[in-house]
Amino acid sequence: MKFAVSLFTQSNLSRRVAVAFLMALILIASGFVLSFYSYTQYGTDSERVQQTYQTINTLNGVLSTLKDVETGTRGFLLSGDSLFLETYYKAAPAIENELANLEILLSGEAQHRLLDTLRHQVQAQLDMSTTQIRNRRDVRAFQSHLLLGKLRMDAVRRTVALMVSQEDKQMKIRNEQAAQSYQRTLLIGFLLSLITLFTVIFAYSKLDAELLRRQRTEDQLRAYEEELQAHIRQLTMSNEELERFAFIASHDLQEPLRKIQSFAGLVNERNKAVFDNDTNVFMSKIVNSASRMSRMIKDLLDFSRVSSQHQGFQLTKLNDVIDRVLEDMELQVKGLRAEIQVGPLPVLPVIATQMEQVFANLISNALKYRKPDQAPVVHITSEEVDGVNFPGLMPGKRYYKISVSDNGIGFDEKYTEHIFQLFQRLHAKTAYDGTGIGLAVCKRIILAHQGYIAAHGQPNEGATFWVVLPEKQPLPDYERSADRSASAYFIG
Amino acid sequence: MNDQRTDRPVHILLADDDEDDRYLILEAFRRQYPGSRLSAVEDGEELLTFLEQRTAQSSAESDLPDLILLDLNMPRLDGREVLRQLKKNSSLCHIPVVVLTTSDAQPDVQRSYVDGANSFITKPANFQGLMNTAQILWNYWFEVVTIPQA
Repeated sequence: MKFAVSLFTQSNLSRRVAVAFLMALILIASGFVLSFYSYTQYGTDSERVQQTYQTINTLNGVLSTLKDVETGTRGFLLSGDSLFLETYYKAAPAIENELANLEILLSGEAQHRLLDTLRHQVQAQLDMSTTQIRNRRDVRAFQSHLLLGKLRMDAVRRTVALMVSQEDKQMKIRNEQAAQSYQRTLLIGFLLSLITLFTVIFAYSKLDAELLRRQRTEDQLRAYEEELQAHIRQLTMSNEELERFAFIASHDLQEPLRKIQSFAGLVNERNKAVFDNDTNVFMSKIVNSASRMSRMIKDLLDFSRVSSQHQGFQLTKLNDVIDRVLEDMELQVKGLRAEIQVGPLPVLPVIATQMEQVFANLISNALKYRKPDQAPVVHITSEEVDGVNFPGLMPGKRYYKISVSDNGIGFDEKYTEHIFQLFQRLHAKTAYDGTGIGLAVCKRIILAHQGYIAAHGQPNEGATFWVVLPEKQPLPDYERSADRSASAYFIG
Repeated sequence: MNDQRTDRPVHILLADDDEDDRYLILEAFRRQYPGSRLSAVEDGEELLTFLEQRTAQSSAESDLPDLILLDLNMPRLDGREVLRQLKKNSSLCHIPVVVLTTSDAQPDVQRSYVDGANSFITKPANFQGLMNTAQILWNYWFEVVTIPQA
């Protein structure tokens, strides 16, 4: 639960960092856009200023051309020399050209209206000049035209002045606007940079904290892993030592036992005739006890050997295993008139000899703990199960549960755990033979197979033992088993 | 019960560091075959010395054992090494060697045969077993099997 919460906050945090970086990215991008906009804006503004100057120049040009026309006309009128008309002839198309340019250059309805006025005034002036040139001889007309020309020229001057001032005003406004927008852009740019800076600092600090936290977690995990490795090494070592110890101890324990048995036998051999009954009983008790202990030690040795096998897992038909076991037990089965029914069993990766040991134990238990008045019936069945239902097995992994059930004397459910422990027995050894190691060996074998073994029963209702075995074995641990058989115990 | 092939008694040499075992094993043979000649040594070194002394004598009076019973775990020179040396020695390699040991471990069994043991017996757990073993060994080596003349 705690883990889930921390996972959640972790993802939340990384999302926050991502958002912060995204924001910084967007801010930087807007900074770019803003700069670009400001740059193009500056270009537009200077273009406009340029345009304004051009407009003013053109307007002045119109005025000057018109002045030339007037001067030329006046000169011609006064002198009659057609040389003065040269400017007049040039002026008309030039003015037309300039007016057309103005049409393009000018912006705003007011200016265009003024341009129309200017055009009319210019046209009127030109027309007047044409008329004057044509009627050179009319002196009265010449005088009135002189005055009118001046008035008209003044009107043109006023219009041009108005237009120029208009342009000037517009330019001023534009310049102000440009300055303002430039300032605004600068301010926004500054603010954007500031926000970006803070966002990046924020994201970095968060990221740094996160990295630090992860580093710490990783360090901790590595420390745990190392600790775990050390534990595993220690466990492996102590396991190996324990097995070696069990093996050596068993052998060394056998030695004095052998002597007790041998010398007791020797004493018997020599003195059987002179011993009284009691002494003979005592002697046989010594021999029997020693021989029983010897058997227990041998069993203990078998028990300790179980886990020393880590290789030899082979796909094996469990039906074949049971067949071999039953073949070995044929005489016993026939003698007891036992009925043993074996269902279809799976093919599993097992150590076949160990499985034989397990099923030989389970079946012989079923026969041993039979009801005295009833022929034993043993059922061996199999079903597919999921590991989730069994303690210590992997959930979601496929297992097979093989049940061995009998109709024997059963046992009290409260001893279920008890019966799988070493040298634990539920019955007096006088009633049922055995050292109490069979099921402990079974359990050890099944555990070495990554499986599970359990039993349930009711007194007088029979017992069922089941063995749960995995469909697949994990890869063999070659490292561990490598020198096991090679270094095997040389005991003389 | 003397071997009919020679006029001298059968000579069995036992090498075992355990005093009790020496007593029990020899006692078992004594019980079964009172006329046999039994010698015992306590380790490999002693065994080799025992045999060397006897090969050094003239061949006519050679007094080598007819059968060697060899324990594997012994101090100084253990049974495995003794076995190898015996089988390398041209004047000793013909003597049958029976490994008689506590071990029943497969690696011990295999190595012993590789090194030239003629049989491998795990010490019986009681005296009756020892007497049976003695009888079987005697029957096999001195009545069934033909062995080189000493």
